[in-house]
Amino acid sequence: MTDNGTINGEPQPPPTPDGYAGRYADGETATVHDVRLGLAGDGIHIYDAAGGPMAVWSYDDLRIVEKPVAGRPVRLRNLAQDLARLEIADHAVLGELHGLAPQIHNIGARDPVARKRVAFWIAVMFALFGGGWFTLANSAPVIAAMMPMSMEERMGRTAIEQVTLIFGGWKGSDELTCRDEAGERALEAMTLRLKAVDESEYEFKVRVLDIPIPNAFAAPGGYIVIFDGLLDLAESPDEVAGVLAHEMTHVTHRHATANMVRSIGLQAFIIPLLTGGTMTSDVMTGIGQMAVQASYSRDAEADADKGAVEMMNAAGLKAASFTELLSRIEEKYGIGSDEGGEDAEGDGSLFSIPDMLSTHPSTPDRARLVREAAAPGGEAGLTDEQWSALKSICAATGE
Amino acid sequence: MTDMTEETLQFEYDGRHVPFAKIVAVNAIYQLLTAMIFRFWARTRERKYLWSHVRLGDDRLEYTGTGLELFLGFLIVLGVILFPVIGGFTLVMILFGDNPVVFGVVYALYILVIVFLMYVAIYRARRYRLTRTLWRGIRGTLTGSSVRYAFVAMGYTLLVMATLGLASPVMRIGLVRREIENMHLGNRPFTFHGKIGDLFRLWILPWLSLPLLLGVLFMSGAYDSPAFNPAAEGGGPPKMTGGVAAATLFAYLLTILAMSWYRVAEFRYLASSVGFEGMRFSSALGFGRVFWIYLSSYLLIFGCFILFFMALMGVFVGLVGWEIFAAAANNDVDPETIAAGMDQQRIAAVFVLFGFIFAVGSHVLNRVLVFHRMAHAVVTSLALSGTQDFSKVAQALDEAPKLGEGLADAFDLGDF
Repeated sequence: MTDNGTINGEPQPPPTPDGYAGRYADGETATVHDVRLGLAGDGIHIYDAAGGPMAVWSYDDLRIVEKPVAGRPVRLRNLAQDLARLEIADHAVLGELHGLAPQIHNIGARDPVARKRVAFWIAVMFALFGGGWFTLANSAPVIAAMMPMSMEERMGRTAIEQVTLIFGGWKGSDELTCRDEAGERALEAMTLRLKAVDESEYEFKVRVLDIPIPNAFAAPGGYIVIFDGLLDLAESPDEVAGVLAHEMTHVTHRHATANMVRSIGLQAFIIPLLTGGTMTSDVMTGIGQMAVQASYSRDAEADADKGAVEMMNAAGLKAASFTELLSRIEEKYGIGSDEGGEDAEGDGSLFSIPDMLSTHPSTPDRARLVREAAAPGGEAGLTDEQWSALKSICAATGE
Repeated sequence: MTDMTEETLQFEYDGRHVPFAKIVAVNAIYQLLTAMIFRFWARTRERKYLWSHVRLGDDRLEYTGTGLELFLGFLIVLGVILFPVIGGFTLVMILFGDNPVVFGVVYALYILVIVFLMYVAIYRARRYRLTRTLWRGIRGTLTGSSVRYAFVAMGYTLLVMATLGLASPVMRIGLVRREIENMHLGNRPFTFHGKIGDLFRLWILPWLSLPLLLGVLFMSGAYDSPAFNPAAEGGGPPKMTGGVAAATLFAYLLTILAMSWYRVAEFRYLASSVGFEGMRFSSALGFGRVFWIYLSSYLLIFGCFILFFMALMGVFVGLVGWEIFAAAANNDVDPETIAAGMDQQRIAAVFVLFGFIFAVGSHVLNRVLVFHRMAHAVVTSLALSGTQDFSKVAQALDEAPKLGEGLADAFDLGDF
């Protein structure tokens, strides 16, 4: 409303030729004043209703508060006095201000200062988190090697419980351990035969769980768990022994421990960052799950294969047969990529099973390497009697 | 405008669903694309829209917060609180997780710490939002210690738990009084005039639905056990079982309705107990309106979900072919046939796309249909009456917190 304003008959000379009307909150009291404005060369001059000068807002510090909305007054603010506000009903003022103060639109994403600050802190965040995670991931093996056995064993027990809970339908390992005496003795015989050629100080605590999935887990500290499903699919004891030797190598080379350390890093660094750190109980129960389900890298698997073959050779057992067991499992459950060959870190069909098989795509290379390293001949490892005892170790457990 | 008039100032809200939906949708998409890092700016955009469409008298609210403040607040909390707490507890759990006693104790401690931090977070987040709210050029503030608030809140929580919820009004009045009396516009405090007795009068009947529900649940559970009902071995006579099921359903519905009614009535009472500079707030929010908003929203959302699901099935059939689809629907599942009939990558892409649409769509629908409508209803129900005299209100001299809400973000506390 750019009228030449007469109030009560008294001529009110407009401060300058363009007399915009506005409402002004000075940011010091809650009173909102009706004001008149003049656009001078240095800024907006604000006058009260009687024509007395109130304030001057320089163009440099002038910004709009938000994108102007039709039908609502334009709102302006002053960087030098952060909370004061000026409202002008007539949007035409913007047209004039564009020429005088083009930077008034540099708010939010258009504000170069704000943009730089945001970019800086996001870069800092990535550096910190990325750096932290990277360091932890790469120092995980070192940390694992320095860990005292008692700590490793404790971690192992926790991991075994978590694994059992996940796969065993929320039953604990106590409930699901198969305790047939003859079967346990056979298992012990096999374990001892392999332990005899092992130079580490690990005590292997092996048990079979009454779970129909063909899988096996190695946990830190020497805890190894074999699921009954694996025994069902095995056709000879040396196949099982090979799997056992493979898992033992994971233990003695501390792959499982390093994995757990790495996944703690993942939990602590990446997940809070991405999800906003929702500290629900999932964090707690997820620890064991994440730790154990973290699949081993191809190097770790190759390493475990090598160790397994060496152990089997040294123990005089048929070294290569466990790869056949693996192929049988994969065939039955359709894991691994169809193209075979190089790729697939556990991608593939919807039916992948972690650990044993998630990064075990059935590359012919792997089986070939094992077969090449295997010494010729070798025994089965158990007598027929022991073998059938082992196969039926879970017959008496569960429903 | 003069400053001393006797009148009722009505709160108004002129935000519209379509512009708001656009903001929410863009927010959702950006958040998905940035692995949720955008959430700080998303929240800021939403609040700016909401605040700037609230009017009291001639003057609108303004939200002056920035995404960067929230982001930095989060980073700091991450480093100072989250890492030590998560790290510490993780270590303990991994080392002692095999011992059920230790596990239990540590877990209980963890919960206590979490609840405590949540209350601290709520208070601090309120303070941040108040100091980023501007009206007539004056910003709000919240004084008082968030730590003391958290201790008090935990104490009240134990009391409420011990009385099976009967003591809720005590906690409510106690905490709301603390917040309101510490709340300021500029240098002038809000006042609180609520009484436990008044609130209790509103609470007692709805509360009764709880023991009723517990009783029904107990009876229905007991009814099925042979110890209580010899006939239960075979499932009991059918019509009795039906009756029990009906009674349970009825008890649940009654509880939900009673609690919803109470929340609205409580809001009205609390609003009318808050004053400022001699004026009093009031709310005309009706339960019928709230009920209708929720009911119609969920019906609409359900309808959308049906459409979405049908579309997904249609696409799926298109990709897989009728026979396989029919076979799968009949549980005639032969993995090899299915695998052969599927172009796995295309299927995966379709699922990802639909998943994306579902995530964004359901969030937008919920935010617009439920939250936005409720926000509109709540705001427009509020009024401020009395002799209007804001002449004493001046800018507070204390410093506003520079950063915001890190803890509240960590706990995913949302709006409160």
